[in-house]
Amino acid sequence: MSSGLAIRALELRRGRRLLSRSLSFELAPGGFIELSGPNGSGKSTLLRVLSGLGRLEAGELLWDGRSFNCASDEHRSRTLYLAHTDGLKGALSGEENLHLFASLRQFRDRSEEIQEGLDYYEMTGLKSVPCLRLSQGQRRRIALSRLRAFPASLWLLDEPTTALDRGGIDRFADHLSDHLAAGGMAILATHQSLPERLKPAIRIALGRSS
Amino acid sequence: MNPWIQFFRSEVGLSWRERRRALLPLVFFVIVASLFPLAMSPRPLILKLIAPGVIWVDVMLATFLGLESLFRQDYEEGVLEQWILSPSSLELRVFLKVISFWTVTSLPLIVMSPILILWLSFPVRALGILLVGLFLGTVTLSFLGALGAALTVSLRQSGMLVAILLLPLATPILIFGAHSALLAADKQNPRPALYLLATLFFLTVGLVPKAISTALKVSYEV
Repeated sequence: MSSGLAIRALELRRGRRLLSRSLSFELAPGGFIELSGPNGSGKSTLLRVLSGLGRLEAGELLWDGRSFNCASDEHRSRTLYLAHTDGLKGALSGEENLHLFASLRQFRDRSEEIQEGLDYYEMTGLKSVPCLRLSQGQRRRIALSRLRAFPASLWLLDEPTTALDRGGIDRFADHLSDHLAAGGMAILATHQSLPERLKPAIRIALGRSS
Repeated sequence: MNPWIQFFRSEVGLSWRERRRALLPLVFFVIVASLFPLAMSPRPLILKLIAPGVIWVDVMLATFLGLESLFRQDYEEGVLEQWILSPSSLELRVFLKVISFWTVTSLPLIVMSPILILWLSFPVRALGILLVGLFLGTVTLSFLGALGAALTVSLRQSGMLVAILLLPLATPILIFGAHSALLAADKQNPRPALYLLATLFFLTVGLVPKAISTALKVSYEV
């Protein structure tokens, strides 16, 4: 029995195309996985399956040695998935978006944590501006504040640093280190290289789809 | 605040911010209803006969017009993903979304309909039945329309497809609804038609949210 997340013989498909026949790995608390591979190799598909959004074709998923269902509420409340769309409503401000997210995650009052999250990503000054009028990088910062304001032990991040400036990437790297130091886990799909100090527990290179 | 109440308020608030778009079905409703006396004959006898049918078809089209894009924006902004991944009931969330749509779009149609139907020489005494029927009917139509919107959320340009998909399903509502008003205007008993309408109402409200959430989940699985 090992603690953390274990994937055994996972089959990845997009539509009818087979992306990976049998993918297996283990991730212990405090570690993160860097997924790489060319476009269309199945990075996002893997993250979507693990989040419960995509369908699990074949394979076994274990959490702390016990098999689990990605679509269960238990798994959903311990996981945060950040897609390449930021998941922000354009008509709402950053702060309103985070409050809406709190209601999705069934939290009653998260004002303090939301404030802290926006502070951390230096978005306090723009928190009342509709997201429609923010730049891509600013929207991304708000999306990342979510990770700060809502606790989850597993982060599934699809290109988290896209559109971020140097300072933003540093912020995110610090944030990820804190998360890992507290025993969290993360799986990142990324094309950009992360700062040196972040050493992934595993690097998985998904192959070119044929 | 309770998370569900907060969610509902935010949904209604969002529609209110985009009220110009919510106003379109209402304007459409008024224009279409006023076309009939122009196209047919302004004689009260004829108008009185066709009034319930005109109002009901009009309400149905106006409702579907607004519904087609119900989930579109949430889908494109990636918010729908977060709904599905939320550790709470998707059915209840869908239910609240449709109710908030109904409040902002269909309720104004119902409020407007007495004025329009009186223009069409409909007797005042049958207004009560018409309004009860419209209430039951618009809620049912909203849920059906939301199902169509959910099934086609990942398709572009789905407006006509949704209409073709839904209009046959909506005919029973139209038949019972329009006939209850017609019967009431003719001083006959409108209750059986209303009861049938109510049956459809309860069936739809009870079962369709489940179907909508399944449709939304499936749209992400492929």
